[in-house]
Amino acid sequence: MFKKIRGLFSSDLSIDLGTANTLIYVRERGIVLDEPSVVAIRNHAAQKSVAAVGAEAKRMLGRTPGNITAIRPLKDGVIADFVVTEKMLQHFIHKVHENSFITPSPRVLICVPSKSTQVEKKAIRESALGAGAREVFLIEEPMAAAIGAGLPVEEAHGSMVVDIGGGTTEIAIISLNGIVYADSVRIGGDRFDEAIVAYVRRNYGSLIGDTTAERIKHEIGCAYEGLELREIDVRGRNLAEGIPRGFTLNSEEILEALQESLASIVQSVKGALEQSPPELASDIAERGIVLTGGGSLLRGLDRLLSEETGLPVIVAEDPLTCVARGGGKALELIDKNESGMFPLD
Amino acid sequence: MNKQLKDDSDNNQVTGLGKALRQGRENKSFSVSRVADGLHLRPSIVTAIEDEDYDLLPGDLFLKGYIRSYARLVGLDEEKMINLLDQRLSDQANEKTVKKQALSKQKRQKNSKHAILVLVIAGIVGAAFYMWSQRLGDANIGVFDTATESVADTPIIDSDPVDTTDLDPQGFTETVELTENAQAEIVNTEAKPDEAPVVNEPINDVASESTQGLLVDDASLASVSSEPSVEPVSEIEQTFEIEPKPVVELEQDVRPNLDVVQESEVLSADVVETELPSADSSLKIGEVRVTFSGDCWFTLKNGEGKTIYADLNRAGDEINYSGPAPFQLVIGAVSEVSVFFEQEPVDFSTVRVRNNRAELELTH
Repeated sequence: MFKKIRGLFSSDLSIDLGTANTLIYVRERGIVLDEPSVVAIRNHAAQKSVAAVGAEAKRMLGRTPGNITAIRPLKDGVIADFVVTEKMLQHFIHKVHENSFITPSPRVLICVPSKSTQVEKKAIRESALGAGAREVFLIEEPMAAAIGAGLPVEEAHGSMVVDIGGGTTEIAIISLNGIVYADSVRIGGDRFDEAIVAYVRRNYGSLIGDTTAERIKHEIGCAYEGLELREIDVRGRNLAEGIPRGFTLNSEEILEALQESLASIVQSVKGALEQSPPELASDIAERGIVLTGGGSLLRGLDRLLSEETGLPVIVAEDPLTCVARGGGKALELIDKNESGMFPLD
Repeated sequence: MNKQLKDDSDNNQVTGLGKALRQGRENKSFSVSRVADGLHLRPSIVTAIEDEDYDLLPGDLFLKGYIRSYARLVGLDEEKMINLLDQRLSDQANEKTVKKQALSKQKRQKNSKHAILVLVIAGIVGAAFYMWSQRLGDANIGVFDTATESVADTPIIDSDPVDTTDLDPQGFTETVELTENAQAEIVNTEAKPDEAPVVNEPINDVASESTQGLLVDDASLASVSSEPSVEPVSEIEQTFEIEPKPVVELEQDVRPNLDVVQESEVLSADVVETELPSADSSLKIGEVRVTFSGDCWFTLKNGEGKTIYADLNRAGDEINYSGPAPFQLVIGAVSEVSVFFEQEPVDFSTVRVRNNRAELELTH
């Protein structure tokens, strides 16, 4: 009852609860929040309190004193720490409704990986309800990504979308507002970072943190050989000497480091094409594959997939926000009583 | 092959983008099929991109992707090409919106013709109904006349004789009603019995007057619905003068009371109708001035609900209007407009502006 009244003062939200970043889209306002999914928890006399959330907490990752722990409550696209996720969502929902003096109680649409289990879905739903949501809808991530990218999902025409997020890579073939084939591999931006950390340890005998690995990936990361060679200077703790040492990495080395992860993604894409009905496969061959998600910004990834599959590969406009924007559009369709169009939970 | 492509391009009015891509391809001495292989597209699509024949391509998302890959393949600046494409697409979109506006204008004109036709038909139907009701009214009076006459002849004088000084005017009017069932029926069609309590006042008024005056009143009551000539009134008067007694004797009968009320209701309804036009004349005259600094849709309705102005305005346009307030305004681009009501600028911060569009009412 009270939630309903409070709901009058809240905006409907579409949340892309990603492993790396959480994005919130509000109707008529667009993307209003884009922050890392990181929470810093302070332990004080056996009591835990939230020290920071989002970008501020991310800066603390790996740099915290004993009484503060900066954690990422989502792993592989699903909730790893239920309570912290709830706190984080609560913080973000309040942040979006900053001007409201009444506790917000919005309707929320959350994107979930296509292969998430009922338990994982329930955890996300409960977490959003706990954070103050009035009603929770769940939509499969590749569907939201396809809508956000502007694919003609409602047509009787096969479209293939590959959403490379922080924790998972979602591959789906969509036609007539439904998912014909979907696959979700637990490889994403995080796995790339881990691969870079492992490569540096193995080849340079130095230890670097996840944040540094992410910076390396953004600046010189590449997925296709023969592209312009780039270099970066990094510093890490030398394992043998135990003291920080600087060294230079180039994009060829990063390509080598990422080889294994990239091969898995290529394999999954090929698998999806193999599994797709022939009519849809021919539609996809005609138009091409669309890449969304932060991972698609990795230099040369589209060329790699294009060469491996022999199909045109296109990176969507503003790939980082595709899922959140697509969720927003789906919310609008719910209001127009066309919710039956999409498989919502 | 290249020559043939050039000829094609001339036909399709190729602008910078297609030309630049073709130039890039020729500089690298790539053939169309080589580019098509590189992009994994059909050669016909590559030709369509060069000819800017975008109808053959599957939507903006793919088009942008193809052009980006093409530019990268032939070593051109991707962002520059995408900007050119955006420009081209926005031009196309503008053309489409202009066409749409023209179409909607035509539709509106068509609609307004329809509205006029509907109004004319409604007018004719109204006039026909009015004439019919007038005829019905005349017939009513006829019934009334015969009824009053029957009062004179009625032999219902079996109740106790009552002195004429005790005569209840209400009771009198009732008798008139009672004696003529036919009229009661007609009145019923015009007024609902359950609205009876509203009309207590006229009855009291009637009661305070002399019986003779009352009679005239009653006749006029009846005349409200039927617009009769003066004749029935005199007839009723006659009736009263001749036969006062039976009128009084039926005083306690309840049924006719309802009918009187109904008659009075008809009267009061008529009074309300005559009062309505005076409400319109109370509208204040207001003055509004609108200046435009860019393209903006603008609609203005005055206090009478009449659309004064509805059109797309350009920068530098100005609209002055004075007429009956309040004014209903619809502004398509709030940022391009300054509105002055009674020489004072209107503050848009208090108005709900959505997507730079606002609907507001200006009142004194």
